[in-house]
Amino acid sequence: MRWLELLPSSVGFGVLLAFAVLAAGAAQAPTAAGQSAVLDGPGVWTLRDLGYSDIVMPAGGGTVIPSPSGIPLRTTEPVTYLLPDGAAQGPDIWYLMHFHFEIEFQEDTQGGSAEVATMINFDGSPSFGTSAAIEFMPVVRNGALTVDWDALGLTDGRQTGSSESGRVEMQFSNYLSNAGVRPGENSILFVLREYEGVKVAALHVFDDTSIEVSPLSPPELAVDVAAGWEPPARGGETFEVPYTVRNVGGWPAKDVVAEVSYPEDGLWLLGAPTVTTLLLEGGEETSGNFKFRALSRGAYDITLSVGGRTGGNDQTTVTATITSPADDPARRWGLVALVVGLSALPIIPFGRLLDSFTGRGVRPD
Amino acid sequence: MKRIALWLALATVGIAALSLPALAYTSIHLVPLTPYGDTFYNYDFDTQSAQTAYADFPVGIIWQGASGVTVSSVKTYIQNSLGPGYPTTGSTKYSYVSDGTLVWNADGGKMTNCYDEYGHGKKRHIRPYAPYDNHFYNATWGYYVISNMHERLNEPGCSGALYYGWSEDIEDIVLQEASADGYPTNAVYYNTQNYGEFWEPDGRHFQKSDGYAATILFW
Repeated sequence: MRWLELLPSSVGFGVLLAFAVLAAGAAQAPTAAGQSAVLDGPGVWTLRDLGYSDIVMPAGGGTVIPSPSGIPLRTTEPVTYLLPDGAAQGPDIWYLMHFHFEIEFQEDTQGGSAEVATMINFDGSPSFGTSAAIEFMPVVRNGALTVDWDALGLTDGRQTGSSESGRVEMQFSNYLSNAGVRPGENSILFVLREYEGVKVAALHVFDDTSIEVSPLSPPELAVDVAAGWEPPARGGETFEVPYTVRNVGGWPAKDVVAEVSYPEDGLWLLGAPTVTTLLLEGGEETSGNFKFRALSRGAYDITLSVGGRTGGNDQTTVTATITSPADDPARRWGLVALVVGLSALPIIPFGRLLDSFTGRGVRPD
Repeated sequence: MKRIALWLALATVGIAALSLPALAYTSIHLVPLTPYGDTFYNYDFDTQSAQTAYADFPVGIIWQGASGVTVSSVKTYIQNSLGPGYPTTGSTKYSYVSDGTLVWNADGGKMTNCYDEYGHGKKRHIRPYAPYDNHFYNATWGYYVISNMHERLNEPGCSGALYYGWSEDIEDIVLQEASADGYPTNAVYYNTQNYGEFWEPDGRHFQKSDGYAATILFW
C-alpha cells in the first residue's frame, strides 16, 4: 500500500500496525458495475477497485458542458464512490487523488492551450470541488511539435515540464479541495478544455488513477526562534539567532527555504541569507543559526520566514537591541590622540612661543 | 450601588468598543496576506519592490474555481465577455505572490475603451495576478487568481488620465457584470486589511476599498 511507505519515520510501530490493519481491510475486491464502493478508512482505491476501467475521450468526444466564460468543456462519464458519515477534508482524515493520464495532441495543432482538470461533485452549480487543473501548451520547436506543461498541487508544489512529442503521460497527485469531499455519494468528472483552436486527439485516463484516504495532512511549515535567545547588548559583538523549521503537516515538504531579512544599516549578516532543506518529512524539524555582527546602536527587527515548493509558509520576527555603538578602531585611536594632546597642553611653553611669534624678548645681536 | 454603576459604565464602554467599525486607513496599509498557506500582498506595485511607496491599488477580487481559472483564461473572459469588453492593455504593474516561493508577477491587465460619463472620459482597468501567470491552489479556495481594478478618470479626448482610483466602485461594477454572465459572486469574502478612502499625496490617486476582497466563482 503506497500510503504506508509515506508515513513519517517518527510514527511508532503500533500506529503503523494499526494503519496496516485498516489498510488491509480497505484493499477490497473491485466493486461491481453500478455499485459505488465505500471508502471508509485509510487506503488507496483505484478506478479498477471502484469498478471502472481505462477511460478514453477521443477528439470531440465526451459530454459538452457550457460554462459562463463561453469556453465549453468536455467531460467523461462520472466515476462515483461513497464516503462515510461526517466525511470532510481534514483535520483527521484527508483525501488525495493520484491522477494518471495521457493527453495526445494532433500533429497539426498550432498554438493555443488545453487544460486537463477534475470536477468533483458537479451538479450544474459552480460550487464544485477539484483536485487537478493542469495546463498544456503545444508549440512547434525546430519543426517538431513539443508540449510544455505546468501543474500545481499541495503534494509536490509547482511542477513544469516539456514533452518532445505531441503526447504527454503524467502522474499528478493532489489533495482534493474541500468542496470535493462530502458524506454519501461523490462523483468525479475528468475534464478537457481547449483554448484558442488547440487540437487534442485524445485524453486517456488510466485505471490505476486512485483516491487515497490518508491521515497525513498537507505539508505546513512553521519557523520559530529557539527559546532563551538573548539579543546582544553591545555594538561590535557577534550574535546568533538560532531557529527551528518544522513541517507541522503530515505530507513531506519539498525544497524548504529558511530566509532571514534584517536592516542592513544596523546589522551585518555573517553568512548566506537563505538555507535550503530539500526534504522535510511530516513532523520532522531542522535547526540552524543566522549569525550577525551588530554595527550600531538601535533596535532592529530580524524576520525569519520559511517557504518551500509545497507551500505552507510561516514567518516570525525578533528584535535585536544594541545599546552601545560599535567599537570603531579609527574612532578609538582618534580619541586616544585627543586625550594625549590635551594632557600635553600644560607643558607647551605658550609664552615663549608667543614671544617668538611677536618678536618680543628676542635678544638683539 | 457604586459598584453596579461602575460595572455598567465598564460594560457600556466595552460594548461601544466592540461596535466600533473596523479601522479605516488614511494611507496605504501594506501587508502580506497568507490565506491557507499561500501569500500575496494586499496591493500591487509600480515596480518590483514590496514597499508602501510603490503600492498601486488594492487587491479586490478573487477569481476562484475548480476548473479553468488561470490568469490567461480570466483575462480572455474579461477581454471578450465582461461588461462592455476590455480590449486594450494598460501599463505593466507587479504583484508579489507565492504558492510556495514568493515571485513577482507582472501584468498590464485588461482595459475598456474610453467611454463618456457625465462629460468625463473614463476607462476601467483590471489586472489579474497569480504565480507564474497561472494560478494559486489551496484546498479551501481551490484554484484561484487575484486581481485589482481601478478607474481612469477625466481623460481629455481619452488620451490620458488625470485621476486614478475608486477601486471599490469598479469592483461593484465588475461583480454586477460577472453576475449578469451567470457567475455567482460574494462582495465580502476575504479581509484584505486595506479599508479606507483617501487621496494619495500626489492628488491624482484616490484609494477606495471596503477592506474585503470579493469572490467570483469562475469556471
